[in-house]
Amino acid sequence: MTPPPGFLPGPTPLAAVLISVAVRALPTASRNRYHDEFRAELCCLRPGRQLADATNVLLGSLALRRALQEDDVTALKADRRLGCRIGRHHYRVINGDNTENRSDRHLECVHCGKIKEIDMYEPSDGSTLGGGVGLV
Amino acid sequence: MVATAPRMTLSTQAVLRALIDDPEREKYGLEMSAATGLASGTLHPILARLEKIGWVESSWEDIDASKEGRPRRRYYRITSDGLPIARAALAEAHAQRVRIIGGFRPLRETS
Repeated sequence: MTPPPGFLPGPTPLAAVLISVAVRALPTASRNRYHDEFRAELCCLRPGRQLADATNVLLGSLALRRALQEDDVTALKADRRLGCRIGRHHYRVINGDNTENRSDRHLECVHCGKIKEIDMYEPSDGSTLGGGVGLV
Repeated sequence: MVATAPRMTLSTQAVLRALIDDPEREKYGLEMSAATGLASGTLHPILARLEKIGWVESSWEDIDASKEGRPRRRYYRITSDGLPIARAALAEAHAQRVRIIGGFRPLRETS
């Protein structure tokens, strides 16, 4: 029996369900694209392979979701060196736009871009003396 | 400025190598899976990351699906901007691996 004109082969019902579930985990904007992409790939496979492949897509759907959602900062985070991961950053001093204001500076890690404020000694005006006891 | 680059895991390197192998040729998911030995669940997140940073681009196959008798596929290829960066990243990853392996010298035999 020949298929009717316009008929496109699709994955087996079980594989189709797995793909639909996998795609639901993805951001809304990407669902249609990946749904069509996964279906197109599955329909070239034997039913047994389809099921295995669809299961694998389902297992990888959260990783795909993370990849689609992560912004550049997260990508940088993933690329951090071991030193940065354990909190041993390689800071350098970055001056602010105002060159006359020396307090307008901060530290920035050359590897991961982490920003840290410079701890500067500020003379007290006496208002904080007494530790909250209330000097008159 | 810190350059945005993916983690150069062995899987990412395999995907990049498969794309760089013949940069002019577009490949779809199953072809990439066959070339890299990676399953779809591993392959697509890597492709999504590479696409996001502009090293890889993808497009729908331009066919008449009903005429071909199959749905159109999504094809991937390395971008012209991504090609030199990816080559450099692969070379760097390879050099790093060589350095690490070189660091493990065999122990001297004690007499």
